[in-house]
Amino acid sequence: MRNKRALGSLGERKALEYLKSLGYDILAVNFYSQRGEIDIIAEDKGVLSFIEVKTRTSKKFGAPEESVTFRKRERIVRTALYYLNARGWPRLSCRFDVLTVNIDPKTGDTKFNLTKDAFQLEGDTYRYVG
Amino acid sequence: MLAKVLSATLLGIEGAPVDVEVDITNGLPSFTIVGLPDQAVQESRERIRSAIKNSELNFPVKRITVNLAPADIKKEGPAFDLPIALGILMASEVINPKLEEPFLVVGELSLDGSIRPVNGIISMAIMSKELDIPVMFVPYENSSEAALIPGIKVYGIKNLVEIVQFLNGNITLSPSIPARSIRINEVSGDFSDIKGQESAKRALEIAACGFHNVIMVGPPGSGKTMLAQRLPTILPPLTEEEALEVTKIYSSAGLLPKGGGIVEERPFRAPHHSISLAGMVGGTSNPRPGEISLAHNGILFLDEFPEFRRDVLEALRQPMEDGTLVISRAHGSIRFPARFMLVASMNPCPCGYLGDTRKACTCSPYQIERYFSKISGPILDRIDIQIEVPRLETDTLIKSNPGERSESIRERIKKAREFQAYRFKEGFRFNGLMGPNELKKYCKLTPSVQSLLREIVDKFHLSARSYDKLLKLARTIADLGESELIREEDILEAIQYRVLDRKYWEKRFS
Repeated sequence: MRNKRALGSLGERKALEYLKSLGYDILAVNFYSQRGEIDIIAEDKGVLSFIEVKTRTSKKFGAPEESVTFRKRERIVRTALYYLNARGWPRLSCRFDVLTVNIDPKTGDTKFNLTKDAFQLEGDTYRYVG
Repeated sequence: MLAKVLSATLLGIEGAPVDVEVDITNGLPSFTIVGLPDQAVQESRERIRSAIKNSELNFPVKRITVNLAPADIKKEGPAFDLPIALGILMASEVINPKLEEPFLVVGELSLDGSIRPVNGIISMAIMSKELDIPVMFVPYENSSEAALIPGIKVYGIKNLVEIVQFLNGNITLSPSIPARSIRINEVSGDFSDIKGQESAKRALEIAACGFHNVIMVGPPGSGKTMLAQRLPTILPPLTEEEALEVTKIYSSAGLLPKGGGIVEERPFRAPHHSISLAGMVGGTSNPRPGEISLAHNGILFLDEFPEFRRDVLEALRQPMEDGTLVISRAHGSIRFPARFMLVASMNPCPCGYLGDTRKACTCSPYQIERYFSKISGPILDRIDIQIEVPRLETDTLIKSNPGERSESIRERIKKAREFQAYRFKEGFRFNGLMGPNELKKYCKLTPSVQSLLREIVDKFHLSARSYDKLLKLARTIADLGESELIREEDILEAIQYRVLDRKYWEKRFS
């Protein structure tokens, strides 16, 4: 079995290049907090965007978008709140994006699929605090 | 940005104003609705999001908070979809209303952005007129119903894009025109269909004329149900005010046929005897009109009267007296109009053949006693006319001698009603609804009639209530004869309709 972490970081490197080519202003990569992790935080035309990167080499385990489960979303939202607090709540609107990176293991071809505003908070913000 | 849109909800059958406030701020994207929304209102978030996106409009990726005020009344149903969606589009400046007058919006959204009809539109239109709101945006299918209320401009909206463009002043729409009148009853037929039973027909004619409650006792197959079903064909037409009341009730119950319109005929409701208490009087935690309210200004026909549940029958007592029903719940009490004419039918015993000339009754005295005891004294007391509908004799059955047509009976009733209306100058009312004061005022008796009445009261041991009923009935009979005074023959006919309880219930109540 190949190294999952190696594949993940390869995907994230490719994702960074891709986002930069789209004009995203990268603010943080692999932002960690006690509550979870956000792969990439970037600013896209005045909107603060929290990006979850998913890398896949085959479709055997279903579409990568499906693997962003409710628990995972909750972790991302909590981390985003932590980030916003740490930055003193910049006066920007925010968004959660999901970027999937499909790498063909034989040819090395890479395909990107960026879903902007992939999900939103369910219910009130306070549900995610603490 | 903050935006405010006026909408409405239903409390019972009345409209109540609701302010939809939408606030959009920066922050993590979320969509929250507060202000006592029920499940259908919570779900509107998903409908609104899809509808806006599928209408090729921008759904703001921001923090959206929606408040439905006043926060203490429960908001139910999907009618807030459209006002909330408009509020979001106004707060995000997709819409900059060019309209100067205040306006009210209701409508359910479909995922593709089209607008679906909602219940109770006419009550909301009445409310909006009372509150001086000159413009209403309603679902296209409801628009002709709302337009029945004069003095407000109603626009029927087909989809979200249409109203956005209209409010931005890009297109013009023409106000809707009022709907036609509609029929709600499926019963048809004519009194001439019924062979024989002349005395029962006469009794029903009196009942229809004075809005008196009736009970019919007779063996199976004697025509009780047929008689009751044809009763709507001889009822006097609804007055304008009554028609509006009935339309409001049917609209809020969602029972108006597609397109809506003003109900022109008196309702005829015939619930099955397995009906629950909530089904009969209306209810559950969000009160809805029950059968007695749906029968408002019309007929409530209860076939197999003793088979109804006891609590259901007893619940009829208060509305039969007051003409309204008040349902009290934690969130407050709601009034439903319920002025109906009760038409009940039953067999003379459980097997149905007591007193029949050709078939023997197989019931024990105890069974018969128990059957009649299901109808309590207070209920029976409130029924003015009691008639027997006997089995038809062979001759009448075979001879096809058509009876009088409903048309001509209705003419007679109409004349008598005009007679009544002339007498009740202060308002159009029925004899059956007279109170003690009106009785004193309108049922003046000559000395000879008085002595006759004294004799009758002595002979039949009439109670005070029975005596009042007798007078009311005699008044209606006199009206049919277009007589200013109650005559001896009117009293004598009336007493015939008051003696059945003696025959069947006497053992129990004397």
